[in-house]
Amino acid sequence: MANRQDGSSSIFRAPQFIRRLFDHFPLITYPVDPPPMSAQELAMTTRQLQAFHSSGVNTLYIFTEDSDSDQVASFNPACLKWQTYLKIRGINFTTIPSNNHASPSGSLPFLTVSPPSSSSSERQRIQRTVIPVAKLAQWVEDNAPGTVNTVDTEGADYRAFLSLVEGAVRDAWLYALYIDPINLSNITIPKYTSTTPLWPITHFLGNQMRQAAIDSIKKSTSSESTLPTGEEIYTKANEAFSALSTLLNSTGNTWFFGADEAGMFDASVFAYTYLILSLEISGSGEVLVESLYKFKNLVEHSERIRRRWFS
Amino acid sequence: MAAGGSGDVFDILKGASSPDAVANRQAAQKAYDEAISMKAQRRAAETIQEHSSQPVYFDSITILGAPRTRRSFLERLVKPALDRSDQGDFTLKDALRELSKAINGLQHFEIFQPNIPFYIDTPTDYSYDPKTPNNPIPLSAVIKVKEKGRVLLKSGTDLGNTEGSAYVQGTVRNVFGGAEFLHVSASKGTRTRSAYDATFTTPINSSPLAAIELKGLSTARDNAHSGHSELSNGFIGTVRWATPAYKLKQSISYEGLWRTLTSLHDDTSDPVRRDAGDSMKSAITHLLTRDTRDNPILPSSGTLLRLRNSIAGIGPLKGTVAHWRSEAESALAYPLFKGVTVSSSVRGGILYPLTLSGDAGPKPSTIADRFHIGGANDVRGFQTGGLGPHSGKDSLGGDAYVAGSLGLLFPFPRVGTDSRLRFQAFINGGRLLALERPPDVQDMNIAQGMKYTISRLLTEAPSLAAGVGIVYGHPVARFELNFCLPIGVRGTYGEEGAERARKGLQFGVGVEFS
Repeated sequence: MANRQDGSSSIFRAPQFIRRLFDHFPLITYPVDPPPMSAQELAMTTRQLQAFHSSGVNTLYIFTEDSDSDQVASFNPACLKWQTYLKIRGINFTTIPSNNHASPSGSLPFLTVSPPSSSSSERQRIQRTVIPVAKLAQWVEDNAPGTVNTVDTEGADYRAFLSLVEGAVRDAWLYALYIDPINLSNITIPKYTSTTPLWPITHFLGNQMRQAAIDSIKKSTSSESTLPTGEEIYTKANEAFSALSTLLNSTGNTWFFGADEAGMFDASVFAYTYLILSLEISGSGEVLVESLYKFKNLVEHSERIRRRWFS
Repeated sequence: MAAGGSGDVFDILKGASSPDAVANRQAAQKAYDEAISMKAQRRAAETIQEHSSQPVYFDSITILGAPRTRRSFLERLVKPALDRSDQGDFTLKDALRELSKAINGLQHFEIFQPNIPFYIDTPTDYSYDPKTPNNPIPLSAVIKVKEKGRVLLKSGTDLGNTEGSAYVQGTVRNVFGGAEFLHVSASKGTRTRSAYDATFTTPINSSPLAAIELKGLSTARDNAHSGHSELSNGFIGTVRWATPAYKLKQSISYEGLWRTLTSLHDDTSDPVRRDAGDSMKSAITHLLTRDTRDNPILPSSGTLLRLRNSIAGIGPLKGTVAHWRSEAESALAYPLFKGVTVSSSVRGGILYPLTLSGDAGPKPSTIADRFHIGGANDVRGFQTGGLGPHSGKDSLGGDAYVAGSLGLLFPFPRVGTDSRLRFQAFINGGRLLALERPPDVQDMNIAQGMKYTISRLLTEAPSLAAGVGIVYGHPVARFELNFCLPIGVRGTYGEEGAERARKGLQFGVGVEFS
């Protein structure tokens, strides 16, 4: 972590006597004061609070409406993917509702952890370390018990199938949730602006999100000028579901690539399938929901993960 | 011969047009004119003095030179003078006083050039009857104004509270002919990264003492001491009024501000990350200021009292934050001897969380609403926001504070008290605490917490710093260069949560110093 240099004792190379004088000040040092309480801490009893501080838990900052339970799945696929993966890997963490402004990378999720060197004698006053999403996979490898999922994430197959999820499925998700006006105003805006549910903030942020989705789809489909039609996007998503269904079917129908335990790929697929199936998408997005329901093994895969880690 | 004669004429002519002679003649003419005018003035003053108890009444008051100002607006301004005259028992002295009141009012609006002249005469059809000297004499008064330019464009650089900025401003005076102002400005600065605002001001009922101000603003502020930037977009509507001598000013304002805490640093602390993102403050604020100081920048006598109370988020106010924020400030300047003055100030504030309409209970404050104290023109000897709870390099702010200062200002040797330079010696300090849970309580409520926090605030020693320095009281801002040493500080340098003191030289520029 970078250190900002604005130290009061190192402003310039002061003469010897000045430095000796400075060493005597301050004359008195008092103990530091506690930081302001979070909403979570305010609601706790003193005993709960002590337990909370001594546990030194990892905190995952995600889009979520409910802070009390980390069993609640995030409504954002990128966040849900990591929330699921951390659970699969047996990482102990709590979630906190947040937004992209809080993230060092500009988008959620990210994890904050207590540094491993922290000793309990210093009470809770240790600054926590931020793990941005780009470093999360490595952090999990370093901190989680070993996994039996040994899927080769560098293989050509893996990358091809992942690009179906991150391409065709994601585009369809963005189209259904951000560009379709019904879902934008009924699902997306209320969920993403739940902490500031006031006009005109909802209106501005809604427009911003919609524009970002349009830009993202254009970039993904390499169509700089015109946005593909909903029909084109949903057809491609249907093809992607079909390919994923075949892949899952060919390797035993439990976890992708025939692994003995769920892995990152399962989390990535679940992040979309679970949300598409559970968010009560209407409007043009109904086509997307219906096409996913046609692939029974993908629905069962989603349900398998939900039952095990989100119930 | 002829040549010689014409030569003389030329010499005279040449001499007459030589710059020296012209200047001499002009100076002589000016001195003569001045003497005449002085005499005339003295004679007029004597005449008025002699006849000051002469009963009179206003036959008319004419304001000349205000083609762009509404008649109804001007009528309301001179109405008090006419009303007073209509009541009877009105002398020449009263008439002059009422006129000068109206002129002061006119001047206050800043739509006319200063030094407004006026003339008093009797109506042309009036003839004085020496047989009835006690009959009121009709007066026709003429006030001659000159309207200032309608549009003013300005650009420049500014030194404000610990920041420098460049700005472009446009002002439209007297928009609808009733001393309304429209003011638009854009600025870029070191701390306030960018600021755009548009303000419309209008007097209430033509009164120079009361005004309505409507303001739309959009600012981006770098809160580097707390590891983030704050964007604010919104609207502020203010009604302000004052007592005639402008000693006591009050205002009530409504503000609706959409704030976004963004652009966090890589090492921004957890408690700041928690508060990042959007919030909406919808608040009503009452501000009362009583200022009797002779000079707010470099006071040598007088007192200041300021009370600010603000309620946000409850009932119909909505928004996303709910609190009562109350601050009190008092300052005193007292001349001792030989130009030495004592100045002291005490201030304090609390931020009391309230329940947002629709919520089950109160939520704790966020960094955008909490108090941050410390800095070159705040509590000296500490960095900006250097007091109170910290995490990493960030000032987290607090929910209750007290701060105070005691200083002595000495005139500079040889330059004396007329110059704006002073030496100063000061000791100042403060205490800033976040709302805290009493140690013996299981389920905390806000009132218990606030009571406990305030009791700690008032019983424990404050963090202190002392120093000496030079002060320059420029008419628009105060400059200070101080050598400071911290005396009492919470936490050692580098410790998590420690306050951030500043040893050595500290430079401060600002309009408001405490």
